[in-house]
Amino acid sequence: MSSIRSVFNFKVFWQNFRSAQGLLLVAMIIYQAGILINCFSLSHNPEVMQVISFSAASGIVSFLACFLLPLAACATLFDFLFSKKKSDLVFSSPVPRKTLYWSNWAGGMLFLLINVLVASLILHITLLRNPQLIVENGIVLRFLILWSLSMAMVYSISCLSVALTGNRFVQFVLIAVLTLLPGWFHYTFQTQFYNYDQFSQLEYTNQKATETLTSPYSMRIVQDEGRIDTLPYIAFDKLISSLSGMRQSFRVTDYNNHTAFSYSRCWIMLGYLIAASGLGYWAFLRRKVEVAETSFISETAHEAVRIAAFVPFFYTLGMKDWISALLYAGILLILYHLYDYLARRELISLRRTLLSFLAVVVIASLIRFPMRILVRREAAQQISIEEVNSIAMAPSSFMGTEQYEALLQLKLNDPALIQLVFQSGAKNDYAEGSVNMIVRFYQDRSYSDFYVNISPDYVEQLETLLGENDQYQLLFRSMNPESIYWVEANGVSAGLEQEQVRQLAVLLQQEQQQQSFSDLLHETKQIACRQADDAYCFLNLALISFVNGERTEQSIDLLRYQSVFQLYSSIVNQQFLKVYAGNVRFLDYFSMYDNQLELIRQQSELDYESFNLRLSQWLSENLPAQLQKAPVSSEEFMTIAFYDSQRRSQGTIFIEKNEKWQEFVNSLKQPE
Amino acid sequence: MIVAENLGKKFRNKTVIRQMNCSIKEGSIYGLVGANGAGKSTFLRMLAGVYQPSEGKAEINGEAVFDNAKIKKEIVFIPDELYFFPNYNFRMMADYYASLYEHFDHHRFQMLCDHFKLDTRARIQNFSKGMKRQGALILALSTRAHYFFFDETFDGLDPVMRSLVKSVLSEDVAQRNSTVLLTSHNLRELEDLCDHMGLLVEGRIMFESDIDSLKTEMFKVQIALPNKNFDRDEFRQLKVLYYKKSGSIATMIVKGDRELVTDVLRSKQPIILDLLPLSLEEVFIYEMEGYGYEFDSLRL
Repeated sequence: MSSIRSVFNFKVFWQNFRSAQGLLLVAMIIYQAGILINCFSLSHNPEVMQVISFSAASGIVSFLACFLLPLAACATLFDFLFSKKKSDLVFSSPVPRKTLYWSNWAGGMLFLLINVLVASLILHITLLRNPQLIVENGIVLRFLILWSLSMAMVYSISCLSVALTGNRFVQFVLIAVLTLLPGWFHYTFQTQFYNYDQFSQLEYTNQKATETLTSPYSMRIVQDEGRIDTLPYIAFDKLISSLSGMRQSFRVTDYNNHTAFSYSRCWIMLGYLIAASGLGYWAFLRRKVEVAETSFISETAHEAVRIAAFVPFFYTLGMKDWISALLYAGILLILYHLYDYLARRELISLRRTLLSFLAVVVIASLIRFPMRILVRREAAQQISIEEVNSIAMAPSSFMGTEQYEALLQLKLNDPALIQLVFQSGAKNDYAEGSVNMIVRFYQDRSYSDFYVNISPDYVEQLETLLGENDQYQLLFRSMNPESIYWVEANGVSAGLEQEQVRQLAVLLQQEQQQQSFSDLLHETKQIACRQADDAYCFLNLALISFVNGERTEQSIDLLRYQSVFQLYSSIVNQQFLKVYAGNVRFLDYFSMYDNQLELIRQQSELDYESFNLRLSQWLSENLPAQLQKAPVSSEEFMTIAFYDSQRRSQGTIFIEKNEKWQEFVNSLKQPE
Repeated sequence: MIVAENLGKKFRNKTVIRQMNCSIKEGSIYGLVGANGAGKSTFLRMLAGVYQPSEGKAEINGEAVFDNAKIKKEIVFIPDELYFFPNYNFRMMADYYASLYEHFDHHRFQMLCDHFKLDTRARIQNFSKGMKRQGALILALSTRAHYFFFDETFDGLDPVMRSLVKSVLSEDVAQRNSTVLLTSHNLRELEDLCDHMGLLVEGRIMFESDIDSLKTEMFKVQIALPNKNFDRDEFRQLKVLYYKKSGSIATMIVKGDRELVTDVLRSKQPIILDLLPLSLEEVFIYEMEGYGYEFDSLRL
C-alpha cells in the first residue's frame, strides 16, 4: 500500500486537479457540447445511414479533441514546470518527484477517460432516442477504447515533452515530432516501395494530389474523412504497417466490423503510451532546472529534436531535384535559425546553425539513398523486363513526382520503355497513346500473350488479346478513369508470386466443384458494393476464359470463400497485401454487404443454393427497371452492382432505398 | 545543521553558484546578503530541493535535500515571488499545506491569522502584496517545520508588520529551536533579527560571521596626528579597509579588536581620535570593497 502511495498520492493529485479545474472544465464543456451538437444534427438528418459510424457520431470535434484535450490536460496539470512561482511551491513541498509525476499523470488520464465516457454516454443516449438509427454496443465500446487510447497516447507524449523541456514552443514541436514522425517515416517508406498503392487511391484532382504529396498526413486525413481513425491512430497504423505488415491480417481477421478498428493497433498504441510515460518519468526525475525558458534536459537532446523536426520537412520538400533542394534548404535554414530563437530566446551563431543544418541534410540524404538502393534492388529482384507481370502508368500530371519516379524504377526499369512513357505521357494526360505504345513495345519484343486491362471506357480501344488460354488473373483496380491504369501481362498479379496464384487457382477449382461455390459464382454477374459515387473498388479473382477468340470473365469476390480467405490471410505479410495496404479497408464494406446478405439469408432460412438462386432470379428480373441514383450524401449505401463480362457497369441498386428489394426480402421468408 | 559543501549550480553556460561552502547551526537565524544576481535565491532553492545541485552537496542533518521527502517535511521555502492557487483563500491554502505537512497546526494558523488580522476566507488574489507575504509566512510557520527558508522576507511589508514578523520568527526559534535562513537586500532589516550573517558575492560566500562580531570588529576612525604629513603607512600595523585624508584629519575604516586598535592608535599620540561604530550596511560595503568592489558612488 505504501509503495502505491509513494507513486500515487491522492492529495497531490486532487490539489493539482482542483487548481486546474477551470481550464479543464472549459475543455470538457466544449468537447461534450460538440459531441452533443453533432449527435443532434445527425439524429435529424433524413439521409443518415442506419448503422451509425464513429466518425458521423463524433465528427471533427472529437478529432480535434484527440489532440487538444490531452494538451490542455498536460498544460494545466504540469503547468508548474512552466511557472517559476508554482514550481517553487510544488518542488519545495515534501512530495517525491515520483509521486508528483505519476499523480499528475493519473489526473490527466482520469480527465481524459471521464471525457470519453461522458461523450460516449451522450452519444449513446442521443442516438438511441432516434428509432431510425441502429446503435451497436460494440461500436460504442470501441469508441471508448479507441478515443481513450488515442487521447492517452497524445497525453503521455505531452507528458514526455513537458518533462524534457521547459519551453512551450519546443514542447509543441516535440509533441509533433513524437506523434507524427513514425507516420511520416512509414509514409516515406511506403511512397518509395508501394507507390502504386498510393496511386490507386488517388481520386482527387491533380492539384489535390500534388498537395497530398507534400504532406504525409493531408492525404490520409482527406482519405479517411468519414472514418473513425484519429491522427495518432493513423500514425500508428502506418508505423505498424511498416514494421510488420500485420495490420492487414488483423483487419481481415477483424473484418466483421464496420470500421477499421484493430486491437493490434490498440496494443501498439498502448505500448507507445507506456513507453512515452516511462520516458517522461525518467526525464522528470532528471530535470535539473525547473523553470527556464530555454531549458531542455540536455543540449544534445535539444539538438536531436531540432534535427528530427526538420529532417522530414527537408526530405519531403527538398529532395525532388537539386534546384528545389537548394531553394528549400535556404528557406528551411532561415526557419531553422528562427526555431532556435523561439526555443532558446537567443540567436545562436550562424556557423553553429549551418553545422547543425548540415546534419539535417546529411540525415535526410541518408534516409533517401538507402531507400533508393532498396527500391532498385527490389525492382531488380522482383520484376525484370523479361518476365513482366505488370506495369503501371499514371497520367502525365504525376510525372516528375517522387511517386512517379519510384513507380518507374519499380516497374519500368527498361530505359527504352521509360523514355517511351515520358515522351507520350507528356503530351496526353490520359496516357492513352502510351498504352498503345507500350502494347507495341511488348509486341515488338515477342510477348505474344499480352493483355491490357484498362478502365471500361478504354477497353475496346486498348484491349489486345494475343493468345487463347485460360488465365487466372488477380485484379485490383480503382475504376475512376482518371486515377490509374493497370496493365497486366501473363495473368500474373502485381504482387503475388506465380506459385501463390497457382495455389489460389487450385483452391478455387476445388471449391468450384462444390455446390456452395458454384452457386455463389454468377458467370457474368458480380455483386459488389459501392464506396462512393464514382469509385468502385474490387478485390476479386477473375476467371477469364477464351473460347474461339471470345473472352468471358468470371469474377469471384475473394473474401467470400473460406479457403481463399485463409490463403489470403496466410500470405498477408507478403508482398501482395503490402502493395494494397491502404485499400484493404474496402473489405470492410464488402464484409458489411456480406453480412447484410447473410443476415437476410439467415432470416429467410434458405440454404445458400436456394438463396442465391432466388437472388439471381430477382436481379435478372428487376435490375433494368430498378436503377436509381444514390443521394450524393450517402457514403455507405449498400448496393448491388451488375457488371457484364467486360466489367462494364450495367447498373446499381441501392438496396436500402429500394421498395422492390424490400418486397423481395419479405418474400424470401415465405415458402415459394 | 545545514551544510553546503563545494556547492555549485550552472544554468546552461552560466555558473550562478560556485564552490560554495557554508554551515548553519540549529536554532540560528542566518541572514544571507549579497548583490543582485549573487545567487541567493538559487542557493535557497537548492537547499529547499527545488534545484538539483550541479556539483557539491546541499545537506540537512547529513542527508541530501533534493527529492528527499523525509527531509523536506522539515523544510518550508517561501520564495521572493509567491504563488497561491487561483481562486484559493488562505484557509484552502492551509488545507493544501496540511495535506503535505503532517504536523500542520491549524490552531496556530488561526491564531497567527488573527494576530495579523488576515481574513482567511477572502480570496488571496484580492490581497495586497504585503498581505500575501504575511499569509505565506503564517502558512510556513503553521507547518511546524524545523527549517524555514525565506527569500526577500520583508519585501512589501510595512514597518509595523516587519516588526511583527520578526517577533514571530524570533519567538518560533526561541521556543522550538527552529532554524531560519533569510535573504534580503536590506541589511538593516536583518541587523536586529539575525544572529549570523553571510555575504554572498558572485556565487560564493565571501565571509560569514555572527552579527555581534561583525559590529565590534570594524570601526570608522577619525584621527589627526601631530605630524600633519602622515599617510596610510603610518597605520600599517592595522587592517585598514578604507583610508581617506582630508587636510590634517584622516578617516579610516579599520578591522580588528577594538581595544587593540585603540591601543595602536593611542600610541601615535593623536590630537584627535574618534572610534565610531558602523552600521551593518557600512560593514558589508567596506567588506566588499576589501574584495575589490568599488562603492564610492554610494558613499555620501
